[in-house]
Amino acid sequence: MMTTLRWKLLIGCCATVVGVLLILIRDWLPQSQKIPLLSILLIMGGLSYVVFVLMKSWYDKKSDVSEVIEDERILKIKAYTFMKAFLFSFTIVCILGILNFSRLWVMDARSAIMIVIFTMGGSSLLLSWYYNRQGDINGK
Amino acid sequence: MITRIKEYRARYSLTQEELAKIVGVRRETIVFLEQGKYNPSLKLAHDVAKALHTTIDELFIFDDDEPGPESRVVLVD
Repeated sequence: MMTTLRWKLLIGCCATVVGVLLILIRDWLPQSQKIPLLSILLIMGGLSYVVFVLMKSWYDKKSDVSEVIEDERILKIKAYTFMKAFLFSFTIVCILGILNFSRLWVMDARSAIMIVIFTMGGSSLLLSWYYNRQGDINGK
Repeated sequence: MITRIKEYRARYSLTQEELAKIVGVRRETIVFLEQGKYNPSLKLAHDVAKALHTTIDELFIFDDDEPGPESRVVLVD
């Protein structure tokens, strides 16, 4: 069975390989003028991820092991945070949908996607910080 | 919830870090457990109790105002 580290390295390597392959076959693809940008993003992203994962693994080995354990409290906070962040983002999407449907605020797909990304990311970061500070999801 | 983890830890001269290592959790989890801020799973409560050579009900005290089931006696006659 593959370890988490190997999976992470595999994901990074796959992104890099896909980026290289896209450059090689760009002449046979539609919208070939956009392929180099996508390839550069994939290659840079993949390589950066591999370097980050290797450095983190090296740092974790060097430092105390107990500091990197994902115990039940952390997993509980993570699960609850993502659930709440998803529900919050879903509510925002519903509100945006109603606004768009009633033509009160007409927006394009790009803006809608960016709003969802920032809402989900922001709310999960904020909730994660709050619950970690409290110690539990129903802190007293 | 009140816990007696700190008291038992001192009895066995264990640091929070050492207890965390024995139980397999982060030190912060032990800190929150001692402060009564974290409600552990039955498994973690059992592991902590085992590490401190005691029982769960000795270690965790719930300050419930509600009377327990044994005090709810229904008189039929």
